[in-house]
Amino acid sequence: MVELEVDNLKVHFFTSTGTVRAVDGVSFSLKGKSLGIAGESGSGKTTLGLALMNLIPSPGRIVSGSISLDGNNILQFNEEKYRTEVRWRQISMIFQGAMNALNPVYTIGHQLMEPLKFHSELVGEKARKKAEDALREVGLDASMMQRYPHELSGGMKQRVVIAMALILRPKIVIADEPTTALDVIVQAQVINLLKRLERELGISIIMITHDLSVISELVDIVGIMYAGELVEIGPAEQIYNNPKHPYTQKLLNAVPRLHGKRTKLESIPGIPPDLKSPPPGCRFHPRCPYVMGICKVSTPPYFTFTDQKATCWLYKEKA
Amino acid sequence: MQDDYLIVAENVSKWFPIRRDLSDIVLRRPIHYVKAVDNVSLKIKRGEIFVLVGESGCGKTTLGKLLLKAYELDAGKITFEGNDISVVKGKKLKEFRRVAQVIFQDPYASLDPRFTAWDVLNEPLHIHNVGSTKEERQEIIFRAMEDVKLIPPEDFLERFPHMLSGGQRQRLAMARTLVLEPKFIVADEPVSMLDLSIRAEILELMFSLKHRRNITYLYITHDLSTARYVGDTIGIMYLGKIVEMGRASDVIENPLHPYTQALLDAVPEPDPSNRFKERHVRITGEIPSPANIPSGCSLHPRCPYAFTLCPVKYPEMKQISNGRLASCYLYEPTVSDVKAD
Repeated sequence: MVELEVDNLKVHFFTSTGTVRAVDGVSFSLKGKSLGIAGESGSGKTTLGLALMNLIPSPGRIVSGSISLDGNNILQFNEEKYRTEVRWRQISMIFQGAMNALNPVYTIGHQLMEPLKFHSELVGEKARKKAEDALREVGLDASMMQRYPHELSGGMKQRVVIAMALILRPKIVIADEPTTALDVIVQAQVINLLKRLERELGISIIMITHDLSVISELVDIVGIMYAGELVEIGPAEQIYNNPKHPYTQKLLNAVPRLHGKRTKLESIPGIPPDLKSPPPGCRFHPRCPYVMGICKVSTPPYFTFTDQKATCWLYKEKA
Repeated sequence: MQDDYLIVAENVSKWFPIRRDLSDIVLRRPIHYVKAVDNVSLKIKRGEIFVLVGESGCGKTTLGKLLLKAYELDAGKITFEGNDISVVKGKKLKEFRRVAQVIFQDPYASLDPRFTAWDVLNEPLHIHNVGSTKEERQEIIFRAMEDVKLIPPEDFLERFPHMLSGGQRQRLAMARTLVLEPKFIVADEPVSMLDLSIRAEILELMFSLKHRRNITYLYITHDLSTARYVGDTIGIMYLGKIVEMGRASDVIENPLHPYTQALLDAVPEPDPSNRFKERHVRITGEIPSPANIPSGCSLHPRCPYAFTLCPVKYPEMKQISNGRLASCYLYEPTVSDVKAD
């Protein structure tokens, strides 16, 4: 079981109009569990995923912090070492919208065997066999190898993309909005598949999504991102039943539920800040109902409650 | 009693022909159709929110457009306040266009980037000749902006869409419908592009306008949780047909049609204990192409309860109990007996 440790990770984008602090001091560790990263658009959750893959596009850069796999800071690896030892072998990713990025002019088989060629020098019959196994693993028939992407339905394409991410048996799989483009019945099928793979292959899934309902179907630990910061993280039960950060609390009250009492949904007034010039102090303070003087001037540290932690000054006394 | 209903659709259909290539024409192959909406009937009460729920490609948007006369009907009849909308022309049609409005899913695409908020709101007034003086129009525009909480209006009038947040844009799109005093609004996935934290405010706005301005909505969505939250009545669509209809709470708590049951099985809920169980969804596979709809009941290849009659004949929509309609042989006692044999 691999241990992932992210410490004070900062990813900034240096644009012509200013520095966008997309991920600004995120820390967490993960071992043998699945993690969900939830946040609204622009909160930096996809950037965090890309940083773990060392795939931050220009003009972005990881400016500080460390990402360690079993104690080795993988950010110190050069690109060649990262590509041959880490990416796709230890950490792989199901990219957002990847099912629509399959190359239309190559067969599924061709595209599935590509990572084998580049990362494990497996070619010919062996590669074919491994790709067929990978397809069966995600519940597809081996005859899919000869098909082209346009012949597949959305759910089938998503399964192919999942098979690709798993083909080199990584320990950690980052899944960025893996079900967002799918209809609800297919979404349930894909989540069932991810659950099964997690159990059978012993992988840790890091699921990135804006959907707090989908995330609760899969992960053990939930982290909530707001404006580039991980404002709260803890066991799923704690986050859903006893959220500490006001943002988490408000967000959960905005989720419509299918059963139970029909409670009034809440919205959070205001809009997320511009990450070129985030507000001083706590970044949530302009929208927070419990805002105090200290929130406007000083950035709250993590306050810990057994295994849950949140960045909010409300808990200063209790800490 | 007809007056209780603002809009009544009877057996409406919209079939889109699939383009034939030259060889098809030379060989006189028959024209194939995508039956986007096929023999659908529904009634929307005054002042209610009727929610149309379905997966992508089921025809829910096409049905919404038919009710707005954005498409011509291929069959059936739609009446709006008792008038057949397929025959209205000229002045009457323009009047219908004024009172029946639409809000689209994507507020980034539905607003002209070169129009300021004032232009966006003034254009419909100009087209429909509402308000003779600038002052009069300004009053109407201000009132609409206040209704959608773009306050103070002066601050927003000169802004272009790119200077507004997603939620503000969607509110501007709502204000654009309000300036014309509509009676009926088709809201096509109005919150699915918005972040969770601002969805509720748009939905609340819909509720308050429904009460204050007595607006009737057709709300189109793929999300059952939202449907339950906003809806008075829910209609579930599958491959061009409404398969179940009823009061929102009844449909959610006690679904009748196997398709509705499967949809409800599949909806994720914000409850972490769900991760320890696998979701058992009663139907298998994926929605077939609407260009190639299975015979009889279109759900039969995926349905666990399908029996001999299902692939042969489509089950008519029947009233099952008070206010509950479903089209499934499971609820026809005489037919179910056949099944038992």
